[in-house]
Amino acid sequence: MDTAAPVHTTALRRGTLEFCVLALLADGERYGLDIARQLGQSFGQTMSEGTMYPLLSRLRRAGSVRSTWRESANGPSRRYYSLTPAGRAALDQFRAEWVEFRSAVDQMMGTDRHEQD
Amino acid sequence: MNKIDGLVEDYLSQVERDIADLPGSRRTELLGDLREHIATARAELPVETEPGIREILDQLGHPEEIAAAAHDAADLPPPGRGRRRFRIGRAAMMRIAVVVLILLALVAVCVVVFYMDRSSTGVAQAVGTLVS
Repeated sequence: MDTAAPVHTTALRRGTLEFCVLALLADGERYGLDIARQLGQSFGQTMSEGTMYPLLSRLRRAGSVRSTWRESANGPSRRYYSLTPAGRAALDQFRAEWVEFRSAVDQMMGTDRHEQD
Repeated sequence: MNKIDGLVEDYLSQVERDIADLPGSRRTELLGDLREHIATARAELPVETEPGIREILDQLGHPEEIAAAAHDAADLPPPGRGRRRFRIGRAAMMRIAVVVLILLALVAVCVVVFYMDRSSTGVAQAVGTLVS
């Protein structure tokens, strides 16, 4: 990874991370560590896994996700998170808006042309 | 408590200090989530070693960062940098100081009233007695 700090990534992630979490849950329930690892793999070391728990808590209170405790054969009980219908609707809406938003920014930045060079 | 448990407990108490101003249910939930995360990750280690635990905690992130995210999610402003660690302690100390001052003032008033009651010579002597 580049040693220069990705100065804008934090701000960009702030607005999009919750939808990335919803997207991770789109195919089925996951437990906290699993979600954290997946996000860590995608975002790299700039992502502190622990910052995801307050986000999950907020999504739960907002009614986008629900959680249930399940026993585990290996280690302690795990809290599994899954999408609610409201969470799925929020995810669908974000996907539609994101496609528009991304292409608008690409066009402004000229990053759509760079890709073709 | 072995050294590895000590590392984990130190880490969790640091988070706990940094979120001391959040509502109790939020604190309990976050600490429980972090505890579960660490325990699950520990259970997945082939061999439990100190470097292994340190890496789990490193990936979890700096307690201050987690606390900042918790304040974000709770729609509360993060406590100011630098004074964060001792903010609660200082506020509590201020409150104790105010209570002590009020108590001292009450005691002084009681003593004055007591002397004024007993002595027919009045305020001058009461004050004189207090001063001497």
